[in-house]
Formats: sequence, structure tokens, C-alpha cells
Amino acid sequence: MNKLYNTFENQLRDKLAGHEMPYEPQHWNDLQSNLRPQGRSSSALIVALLATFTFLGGLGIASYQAINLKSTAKVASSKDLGLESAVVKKSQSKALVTVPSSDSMSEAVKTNTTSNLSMHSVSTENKTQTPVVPNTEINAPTEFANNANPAEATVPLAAENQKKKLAFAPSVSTACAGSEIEFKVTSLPDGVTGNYIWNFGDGKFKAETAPSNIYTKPGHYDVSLSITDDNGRITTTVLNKAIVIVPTPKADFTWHFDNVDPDRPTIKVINTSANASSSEWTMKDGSKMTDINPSIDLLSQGKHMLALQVTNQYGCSNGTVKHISVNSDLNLGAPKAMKIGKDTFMPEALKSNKHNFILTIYDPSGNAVYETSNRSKGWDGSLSGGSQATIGQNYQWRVLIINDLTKEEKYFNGTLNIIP
Amino acid sequence: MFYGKMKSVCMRYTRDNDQAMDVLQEGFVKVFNNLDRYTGVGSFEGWIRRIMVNLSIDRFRKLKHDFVLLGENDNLENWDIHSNEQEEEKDGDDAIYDITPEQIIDAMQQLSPAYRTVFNLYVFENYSHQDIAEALEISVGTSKSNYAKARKNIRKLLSKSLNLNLTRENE
Repeated sequence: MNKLYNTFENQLRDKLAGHEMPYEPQHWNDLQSNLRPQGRSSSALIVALLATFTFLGGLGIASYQAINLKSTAKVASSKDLGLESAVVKKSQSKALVTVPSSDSMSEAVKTNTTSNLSMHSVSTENKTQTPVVPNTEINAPTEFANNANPAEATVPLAAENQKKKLAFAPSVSTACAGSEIEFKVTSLPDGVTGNYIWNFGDGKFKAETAPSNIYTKPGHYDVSLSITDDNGRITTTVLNKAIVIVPTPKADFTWHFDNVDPDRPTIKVINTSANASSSEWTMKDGSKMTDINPSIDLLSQGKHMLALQVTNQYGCSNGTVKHISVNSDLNLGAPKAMKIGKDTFMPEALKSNKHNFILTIYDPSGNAVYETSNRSKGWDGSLSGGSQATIGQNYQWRVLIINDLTKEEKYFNGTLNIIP
Repeated sequence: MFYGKMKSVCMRYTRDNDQAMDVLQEGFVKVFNNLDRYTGVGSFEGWIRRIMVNLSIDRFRKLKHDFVLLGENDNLENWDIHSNEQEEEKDGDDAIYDITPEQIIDAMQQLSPAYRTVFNLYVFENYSHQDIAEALEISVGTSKSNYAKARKNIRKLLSKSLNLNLTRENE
């Protein structure tokens, strides 16, 4: 098998090696309640006992004490619910099972809720097993499905009982990180009142009836709402992937000088923004551009302001402002004139500057005659082909100073007169 | 904790978060109820992971009759995986370095259960096609063909997300 050498598979393996999914408190709670001391076997036993009830009804005489059927996110699925409600209904119809109040029972069924149902009755044949039963929580629907066949038969009941569900809706389902999202209940089953607990899926909880939450990290979030009434009945609803948080855009750009015309530099702007779908550039004079990477003519000396505003498809935006220097007043301390054979031309500022630079000299016709990035190698006036600069003529110089960190370039130019 | 890692494993074997959580829950219940059976041979994480994988295999076997894709026609049984590997050699080194683990999981979740399970076992659990065939109660040929198709689909899905990443960057 040559799979070791198969780069694609190896890359997949590398990518997922040690990968971890974020922790979801809701599921941890589920898990903990699945791990009650009696564990799997006793849950199965309880299911068996419930089934006995369902079928033997009045014959069974058992001592059930406070079997808590706790609703969880998973229990809300129709199949599981169908089973529970079937069990409950059957029990109700048999005289030996007493339930706190038949009203609360039917209500619990209607609202997808079964919690703290106490059933009191006695079964001689099951007596020996009773110590196992008290206060055991059942909330593993898979075990219902695995161990009890009546599930199928009772599915229609579930549909009937789900007429009015607890439901809620977020103000928006997709938003940028940092957005505040409001939640409102959109459907409240009759008679359900009590304390609200919202789990926003990002580790935050609130107890208001119509809360809002600020999601700071991109991702998918499950949101759940539980209403607990005075009798301890809990009605829960979960909205899976209710909220999608996308990254906030971040505006940034750099530029470099593009042309060789020392009097009319053009910059090429490189857009380095992240998570954006559109860009808008604003210049000092108020003119705007929407190119992603625009080219801009800088006609005058001085500092040119350039503002970038980026927006993503959800309308979230971010902006940044930078100044592009062209031939600032300092002029790099460059000499205005030089004597051939005596001086070499290197602007003073470059000698001590720590950034990289390119110095280019142009002859009167605009041809580059010399170029260097070496501080100690100024122009001595020689031209290509061994000739020398003509006395009395003006040579243009251009300097680009490159900031190694930001990759931004500053542009300087000036005139050098050759004197005898 | 092993929670995050195991959730990642379960996500790969299932269609969505809910299914993954079901397997994860069942797996951890098994882990805790069988702690005394952990012999100390091999890493504890590996042991937990094996429980998760075995549960996923069980789940697949239970659902197997739902799949149209298994029991492919005969010529697929003799399907030659090597010819395909050579064909793909050309683009075999394409970089997926920009792909996030979440995108890989997302792509895997889009596969059919048969493709997904075979692909998972072969790539991440280092099963041979013989092992897979035995575990899933399918033929070796089916395992090979499902693997090749899964691989092709995954590549397609991943290059889609890769392009998406690039477009985003260029915007």
C-alpha cells in the first residue's frame, strides 16, 4: 500500500491531527445526565419497567418513586417524544398509576415536556428491583429506541401533541462578529410560564424573556430556550445553528510607486483587507474609487490622504486612513548642486536612514542614468558608456524609501544642477 | 479533555452536529461504563477513539440496507484503484494548506454515509480495504470503489472551498 506517500491523504491527516471542536456546555450537561451512577443497564431496566406498565397496566403493582423524565434537547425529536407520551398516556388510563394532576400531564405532553413526573404504584414482581429506580434520570432516546418496540406505534401521537411548540427567533440569523442579536419568543404553548433560561451557545446565558447577545467569534451557534415553571416543569426548545457569525472585515492596504516619471509619480495600491467583499477609496479631494487595487496619479507634492472603507456582504464595514508622502518638505537634505570629480550625490537623510531605498538619477531627457540602493555609493556624475554629466544641466533624482515592516513606499524627488 | 478531539472524530463520521453529538454521547457513556475494561495497553485517547469509531461502524451497519450505493455492479468489484492513483498523480501534490479542518469535516459530512465511512476508516484509521470490508460487511471491491469515489468527491469539495478562500482573499 503506498498510502504513506500519498500527499493528499497525508495533508488531510495532518490537518485533522489533534483537531478539536469547540466545547458546548449544553451537550456536556446532556452527557452528565447520561452518566448517572446506574448507567446504561439501569436505564434499560427502567425502560423495561415502563414497558411492563404499558402492557400489563393494572396487573403491575410497583413502587415507583419520583421517576424523573427530564426533557433534553434530544428528547424533542418526534420519535422519542412519541414514545414518552405513549407511555404517559397509557399510564394515565390505568387506575393504579397516580399522577400529580392530569391537567399538568396533558400540558406536559402538549409542550414536548415531561419532567418530574411522579408515578406511585406497586408491583410485587418488580419489588426487588425498586431500589435501583428512584431518582434516576432517563434521557437517552437511543436506549428507548433500542429497547422498546412500541416506539413505532406511537409516532402519530407525537404529531398530534406537537401542535403548538415553544419557538423563538433571532433578529438576524447571520451577522458579523461583534453584532448584537436579539431573540424573541414567537410561539408559546398555552399555559407555559416561568423562568426563562437562554443558552446562546457561546458559553453565555441569560434569564430575560427577550434578551440580546453579542457574539464575538465567528462560527455556528445553537441557541436554546428553557422555561421552568413553579412546579419544576421544564419546556425546552433548541434551534440548531440558529446563528451564523461571520468574521468582521478588516481594512488595510500598502502601495508602491509605479512609474519612472519623477514629476508625476503614480502609485499602485495593494489592497490587503480581509473578509471583505467590496472596497471604497476616498482621496483628499473627496473623489472616490471602488477598484480593488487602484492605480492613483499623485499630481502634487505633499502628503496624500487615502482612505479605504471595506464592507462584507452582510453590510459590516471597517475603514483605515493612510498618508502617502510625495517629496515632503525635508527633501532628504539633498544638495542642489554638485561638482563632478569632487562630490558624489547622496541625499543626507539616506546616509543615516535605516530603511531600504532606491535612488535613481534621470538625465534631462528623462532616461535613468544611475540607480543604487547602497548608502555609500552616491552618484559621481558618470554616465553609461564612460561619459560624464554635462555641466550646467539639471538632472532629476528620485528616491523611494521602503518601510520594511509595512512595505509602504515614500516618494521623494528633486533637481540636481551640475556645476563646474 | 478528549471531548473536543472526539467530537472532531464523530463529526467526520456523521452528517451533522446532531448526529455527531448522538454518537459522542453514546460513546462517552460507553467509555465511562467500561472504564474498568481499559487495560492500559495503548493510549487512553486511542482507546476512547476506538470506541467512537466502532460505534460509527455499528451505526453504519445498522443503516446499511438504506444505501443504494452498496452492492455495486460487478465490474466495480474488479475496479483497479492503482490506475486511478496514477491518473491523479498529476494533480496529486495540489496544496490544500489553506483549507481549515472545519472545511475538511464539512466536506466529509457532505459525502454519502458509505463513502464517508470507508474514507474515514482508510485515511484516518489506517484500515486496509480488507479490514474495511470485514468491518462494514461489504466486499473489498466495494470498499475500493467507494474509497476512490469518496476521495474524488472530497477533492472536488475541497477545491471548491479553496477557490472560495482565494476569491475572498483577492476581493
